[in-house]
Amino acid sequence: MDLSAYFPGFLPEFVMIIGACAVLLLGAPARAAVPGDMSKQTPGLLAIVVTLTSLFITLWLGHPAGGESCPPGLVATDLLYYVRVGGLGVGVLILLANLHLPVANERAEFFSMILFSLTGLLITAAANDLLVLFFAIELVSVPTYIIVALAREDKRASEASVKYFFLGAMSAAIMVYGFSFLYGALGGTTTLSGSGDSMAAVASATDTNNAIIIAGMLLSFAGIFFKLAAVPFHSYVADVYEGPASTVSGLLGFLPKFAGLIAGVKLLSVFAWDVPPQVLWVLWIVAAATMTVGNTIALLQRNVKRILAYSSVAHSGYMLIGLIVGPSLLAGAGPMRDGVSAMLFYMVLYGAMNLGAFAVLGALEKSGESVEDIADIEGLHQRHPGLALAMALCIFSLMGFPPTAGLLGKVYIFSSAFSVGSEHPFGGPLVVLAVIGVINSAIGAAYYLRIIAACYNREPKSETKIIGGAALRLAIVACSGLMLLLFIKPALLSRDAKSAAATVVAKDVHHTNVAVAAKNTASESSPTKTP
Amino acid sequence: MNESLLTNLSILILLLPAAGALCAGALGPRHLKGNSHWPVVFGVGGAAIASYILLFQVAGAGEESSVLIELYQWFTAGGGSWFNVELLIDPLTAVMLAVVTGISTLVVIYSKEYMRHHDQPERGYERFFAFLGLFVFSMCILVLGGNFLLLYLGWEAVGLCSYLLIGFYYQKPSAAAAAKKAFLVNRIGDFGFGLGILLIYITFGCLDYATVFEAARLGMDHNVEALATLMSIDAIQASELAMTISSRLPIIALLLLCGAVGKSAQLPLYVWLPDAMEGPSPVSALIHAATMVTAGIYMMVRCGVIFASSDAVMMFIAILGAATAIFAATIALVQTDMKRILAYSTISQLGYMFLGVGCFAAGSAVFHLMTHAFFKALLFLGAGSVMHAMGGIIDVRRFGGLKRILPVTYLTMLIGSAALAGFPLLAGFWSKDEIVHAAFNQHVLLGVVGLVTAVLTAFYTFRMMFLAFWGEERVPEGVSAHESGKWILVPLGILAIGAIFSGYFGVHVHGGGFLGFLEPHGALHHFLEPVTAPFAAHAHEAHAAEIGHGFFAAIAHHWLMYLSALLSILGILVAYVWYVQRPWLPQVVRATFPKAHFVLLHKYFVDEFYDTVFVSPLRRLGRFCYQADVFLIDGIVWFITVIPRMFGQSWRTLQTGALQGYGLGMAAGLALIIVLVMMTT
Repeated sequence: MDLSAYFPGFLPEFVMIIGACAVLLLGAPARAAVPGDMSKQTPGLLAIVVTLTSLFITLWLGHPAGGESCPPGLVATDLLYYVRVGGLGVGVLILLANLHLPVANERAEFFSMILFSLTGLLITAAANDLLVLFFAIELVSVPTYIIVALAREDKRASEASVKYFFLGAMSAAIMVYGFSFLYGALGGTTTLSGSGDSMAAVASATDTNNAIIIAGMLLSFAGIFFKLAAVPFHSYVADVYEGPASTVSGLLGFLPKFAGLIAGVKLLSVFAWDVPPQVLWVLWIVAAATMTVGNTIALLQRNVKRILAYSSVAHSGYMLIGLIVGPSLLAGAGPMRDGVSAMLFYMVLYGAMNLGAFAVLGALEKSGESVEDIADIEGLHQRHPGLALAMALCIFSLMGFPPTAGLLGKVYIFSSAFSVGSEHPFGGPLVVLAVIGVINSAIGAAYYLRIIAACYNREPKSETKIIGGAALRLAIVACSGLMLLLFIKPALLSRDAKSAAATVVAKDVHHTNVAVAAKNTASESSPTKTP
Repeated sequence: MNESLLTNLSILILLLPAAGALCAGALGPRHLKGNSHWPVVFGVGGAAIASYILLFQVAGAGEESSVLIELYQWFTAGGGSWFNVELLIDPLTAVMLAVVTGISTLVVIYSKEYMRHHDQPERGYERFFAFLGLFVFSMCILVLGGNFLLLYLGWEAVGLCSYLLIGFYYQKPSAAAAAKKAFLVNRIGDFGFGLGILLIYITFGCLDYATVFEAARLGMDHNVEALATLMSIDAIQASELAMTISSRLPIIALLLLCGAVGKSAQLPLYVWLPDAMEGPSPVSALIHAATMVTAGIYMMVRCGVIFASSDAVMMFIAILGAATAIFAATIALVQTDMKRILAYSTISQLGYMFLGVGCFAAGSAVFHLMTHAFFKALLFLGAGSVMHAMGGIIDVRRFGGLKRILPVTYLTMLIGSAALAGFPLLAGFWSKDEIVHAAFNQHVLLGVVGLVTAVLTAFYTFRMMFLAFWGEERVPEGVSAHESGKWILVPLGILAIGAIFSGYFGVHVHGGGFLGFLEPHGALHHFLEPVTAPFAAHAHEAHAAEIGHGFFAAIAHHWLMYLSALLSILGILVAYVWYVQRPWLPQVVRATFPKAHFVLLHKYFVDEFYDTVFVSPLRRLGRFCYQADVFLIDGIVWFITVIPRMFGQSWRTLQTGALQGYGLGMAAGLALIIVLVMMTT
């Protein structure tokens, strides 16, 4: 098979795969041949170079034109472009933040696993086949199990890794079980969408309201919920996030979540969001429960890593709102009324702000121990004003407070749900869900502000010192700076998110929803809302 | 107009102070230290130069003097329109920018020397300059913004900077309390302001000035076709919209007015401004006299279409302004803290500006805003210079006769005081007289209040001057008084020139007029006409018709100007007699009217009244809510999580059980979902 035909469209993915293998292979000889510093730094730096190269190629190639020849099971769309930009962009920050890890002699394996996971993320976005989708998601997840174990020479890290692995394997089994139902119910093809013999084509021609499809969707989404750490599959997060080094926890909050959300988009796009109401209701309940449970438990924590872990659960709930709202199916619809673009925007934003908060923790050390308790960051402002400022920016962004991008992210998500309108079959419940979301972000402010109060309003109690090199500090500056930058000019990211969301549903699919949406837009196009 | 030049200029005006602030904040603590003022001096100074070029560009443009610069699309909410980052450049913006950046530059230069003691920078030197730069940036956003969202953003940001700078000496409990008070009192006004903007959005569906004002105008005129075209809706919707607009505009105006009352320290929300004098003197001069507090007047003039549409609202504004003017002036009569006298004087002068707006004389209000910025900044900086020399003491009872010790400060402050007192031919005289004139046109009582306030102003200003600079030379013990250095004196000198001559922007030479050749309503008013047109359209009557020509006719026509000139001199003379010639007289007066003096000295007990009626009950409510939070809410939260935690505890003790437990939880959850769903199918 001649792979070179696919180079124009999929060069970033090729670079990532080759780079990941190269970093992995480099490890063994480097350990044997070059003892000392060289072997320590090389894999990490190489991984950064690979990711940056892939990112630059992405920007150089620009948006997929649509005419590229695609390998079987893959498709190049604006969604892929967005994930390349967002995923690789945050990926570089993740690599920078983790450059000083791990302590042991396993750097090559560690960094190649991050590259493999990033590759999996890109392929998830490119997948146009149920099997490819499954393998891609697992390519994101399996390396993270290893990363958790490698990141720290600690019994807790190993334990976290084993737990994560077993539960992840179980969820993968559930998901693939659900996929098999969908395969059976939708004409025995694994192609997701496209002309001719595809699941989307079958779904648009048949009545989708049957038990097999419902069961298939629920089981598939159960697997996705695990990746998202959504209720009731959230119980692992605290243990797993607490185990490894803080900067690794930042990674865990991004890669599997992003892949899970994209998988959700892919599954729902098969039906053009015209799924049986039971599925939407389950998503609704899970979203509401995830927000509420995550925030409530986070309120009770004293360990900052656990607070951030449960805040990550809550954020999955917010993003699920965008997933349920779905894309705006019409060109004339308002620029941000579609939930998918709001969700995509928020996901990348969340990746950066969450990483930034974890990285600040990771940059601190208290007599050789990692800093985790909220008492350890008390008076951070007095000891390390720069770190405290970065922490404040990231936490304000998580909270959704100006002048940070988190505010706009929340506005986009909630307003996408509010703007659906009463004529949408699921309009009323979505508005209620958005209200629940708004209340939840108010609850969330309580524990976020506790972190900021600890940094700024208390006297320092413990002797913390800064660890990690310039790379970690660069990552922190970049993450927190990004929050300001994207507040001032969100279009840098949201425009791509918008065009990505526009491609998730094939244009030639016409569903009942489309007609409804058309009616909505017509009635809302007037700029005035006179009562 | 050269649009790309204007775009570049306005971006420079915004970015230079921000860059200076960032630079001072980031590099100050470690690297710049005592040199932290340089980035801000250059940033703000550069912005000032750009502002003046911009002013000349706009002034030279003639008729088409308004340009909307759309920088980029910011974000959208729901399915509605984009909120853009857009700048509106028109005569009002140009004048405001020139005032703000010009005064700011002088204040920043002044602060270089003021914020040090014995040539050592004070603690937080770099913080001070970073906040100052941030303030200028925020203020520029406020006046440049082309929609209500940016206006609100700037509005809140200047409030934040004001809070940070009042509380600059945060170790001092009184400064921390003053900062908190300023912030909270402003919140009351801003709440209404925010609601007003929200109501605008609900009514018009957008927030940009152009559309909102045009729609408001058409709605008031019931011009249904034009409204339908503007909003791209059909005629029935348009006529409904017109009805909504005409019924809602007064409510919107009142809500916006709340914000102006808070920010511009009018009755009943003025209480924060006197306390704000806890901040360093340059802050008082810049934020609490010349710029931020005038944001309310700027906003009302900007929203002329909305405010001028309702006579009742305008009358309310006029009465509010007149009441505040005389109320604050009476309090200023007996205060002894120089900065507080000036603070009450600022409140009183802002009252004049409100009066001007309320009497449809928006041009005169902006004129007074400009002249006031010069002489009040001068007076505050002068007071700061005195304070600097007196080792931080500012009570006029503790020093006197400083004329010889601080000759330059004295001379410049004398000019500033004369301008404030409305001494003929100085800046304050022209602008104040126009407002009083407009007030007479509106209602005779308003005019009389304006005149009485003018006498009081002249009196209390010169009382302060005579007490501080005349009489026997006294300095507090242990203070080696000395005149300030050139970094302080040069800004004072420049401002003094402004205090003398800035009035002539609003005066034109004319056969007839005051003294036979000076006629008010000059170049500045003409320049501002495109912005103040909505007020002019609703004004009841033009200024009195021409009564012939020649000197005597001019006197008949300009009787008010002669009268107010006389009253101003009268006020100064009374102060001279009381405090220089017969210093025992005030004692006698005080003994004759002990109650009146007592009430004035305690500022009409407004603070005490607010404390009993609002603050204490609210504090009690707050304490109650806190207790409720601690016991009730926390209890509920604790109860909600007690079950998961019980599971958690039991699992923790059986370490090997944890994994299976999680797995079981997942499986059970999934089973529950599937069973529930299948039951409903």
